[in-house]
Amino acid sequence: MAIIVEPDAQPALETARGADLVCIALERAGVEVVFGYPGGASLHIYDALPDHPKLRHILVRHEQGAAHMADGYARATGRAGVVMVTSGPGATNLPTGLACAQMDSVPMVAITGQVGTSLMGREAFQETDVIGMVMPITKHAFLVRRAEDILPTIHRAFEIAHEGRPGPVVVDIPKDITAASAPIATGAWRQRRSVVPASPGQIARAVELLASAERPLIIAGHGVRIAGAHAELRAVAERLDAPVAMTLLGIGAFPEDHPLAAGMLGMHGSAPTNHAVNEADVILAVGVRFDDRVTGKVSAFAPRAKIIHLDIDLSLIGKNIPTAVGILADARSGLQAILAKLPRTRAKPSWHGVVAERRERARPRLVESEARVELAPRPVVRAIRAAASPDAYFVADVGQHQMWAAQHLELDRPDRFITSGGLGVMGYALPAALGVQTAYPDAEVWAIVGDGGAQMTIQEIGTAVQEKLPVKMAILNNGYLGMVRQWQQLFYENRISQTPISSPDYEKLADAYGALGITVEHRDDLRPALERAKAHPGPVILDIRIEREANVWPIVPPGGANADLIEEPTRRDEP
Amino acid sequence: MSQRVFTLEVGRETGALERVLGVARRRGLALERFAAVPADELTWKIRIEAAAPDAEAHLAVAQFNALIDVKRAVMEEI
Repeated sequence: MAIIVEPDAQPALETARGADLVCIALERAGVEVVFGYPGGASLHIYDALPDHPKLRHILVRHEQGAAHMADGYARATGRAGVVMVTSGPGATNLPTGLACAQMDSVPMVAITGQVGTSLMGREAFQETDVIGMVMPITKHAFLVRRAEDILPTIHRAFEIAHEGRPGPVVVDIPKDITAASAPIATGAWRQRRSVVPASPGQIARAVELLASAERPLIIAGHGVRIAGAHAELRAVAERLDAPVAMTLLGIGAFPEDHPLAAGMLGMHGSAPTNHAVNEADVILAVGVRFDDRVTGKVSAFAPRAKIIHLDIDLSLIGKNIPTAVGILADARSGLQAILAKLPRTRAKPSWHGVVAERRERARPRLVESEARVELAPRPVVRAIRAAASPDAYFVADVGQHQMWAAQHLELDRPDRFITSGGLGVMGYALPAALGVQTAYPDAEVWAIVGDGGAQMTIQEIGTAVQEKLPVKMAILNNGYLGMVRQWQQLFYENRISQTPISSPDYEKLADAYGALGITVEHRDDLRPALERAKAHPGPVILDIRIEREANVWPIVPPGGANADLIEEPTRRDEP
Repeated sequence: MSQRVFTLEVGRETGALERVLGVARRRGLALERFAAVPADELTWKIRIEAAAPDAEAHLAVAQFNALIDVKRAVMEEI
């Protein structure tokens, strides 16, 4: 993806106010929307903003919401999401969103106002050490000390956000710098998605392993989606006749209805997928972090496999899992290089066929007990999927509903599932969904949320109403912090502690904000409610009162190997 | 654990030294000595002496090299 930006077509000004330079820098970077919240330290910038009508500003209700909106926007488009906040609490409200973007490799540029340079270090009103605070959770952070540094610094921030493994960059700009004048540097900016070519030696070693594999398996992670390597992944999988397992953030990298699709692996992945990983003799892992949710007990992960790890981040290769071959490359060029050398291998129906058959037998099915429950969560997720448009976007929050969504949405369009993977931020989904909706105003966007996470960022419904973003927020409301309750039940002898949680009347809350609220308490009301939500031109909150104590299955117990996963109790009794 | 010396060439940018120390902290390098000397107007030469387990030391080198301001980072055992 190239972002090519031409110099400003207006008559060139010799100098401009720093605040205008910020806006010019964003325009030159091809930015179309900024998610922000004004304040004292950013007043000059907000004074300049109306003079730059190409920049649409989305006024949020909390700066964390701005970060998650920019995150959702970036995941949907591949373009850096842009945040603009003020100093002090404006900046201190950002770290959760920055860390979320950092862990999930999301390009983001956050501009923070700062107190005037003469006040810095004096515990001035709304002053914080932003650079010191964000250093561990960003790719980079800049403090701009001169107005003439604004343009090149913001330009560099976008480069860093996109290059290599994408991530967030903060640019902290003191108020007096935005008031000062400086010359406008001319020149077009050109950004490209990072292409890091793989070394021929690494490719040759990888191909040698893959060509001789009897039971090859591919693990596709977020890196495949970031690099836009879907076609290359499919080509390699088909050439190898290898099943493709996906991480949570890899969902959407490979079509789930493809014969080689092997489902999600890891803590709540399917049993056949985890068993296949353990039986594979060669694993090609593409754009994967091998975090603990994927590997389970590291010493027991893929015990028979030689692992080829293809990733753009050198520090990830070999970090968590020993690798036989490390390939430093972006997913697309790495897979292209493999494809160029990989001979057509013989079909392996006895391997991928077994995987597919086991997966079909273990495909999440509704069990008899769910038919007796008014609103069991898995049928609810399936109903949302059935009611939604084929190319709808689904943004999941964090918790049980997230896993049910990952297991049961079964999306066949690429990149339609977005969630906070690495940091696991409750409250992520609503603002992120607003970010996706901002990017694609005509798209149908669903936020699937639990009642715990819903209450963390519910105020962004105000943003949805004011900015006319018709997101459909489906709250799977069970009156619990469900995932924590499940762990307490399974691993803490059912000692329930601080997990029952009350909720407001979401229907009244939606109405108070000017959105549509719908409560669903009976199975027969679900489908009409979903249709009504879908047809409504504005934002909707659906309060779906699901079964209170349903659990996510399977589950790998803490510290356990993926092979030791616990399957659904009723399924264990099936022949 | 072995004694190691990390040698880095780092651009003289605001926060660069702190970022290097941030990696050292997160990797638990057990710093014994840290010295940053201007090599020229634009570059610091940094020498870190630390006792660190193998895996952390090798990961630290990778993470040092991933820092925007670090031009080069190498490690040797002493």
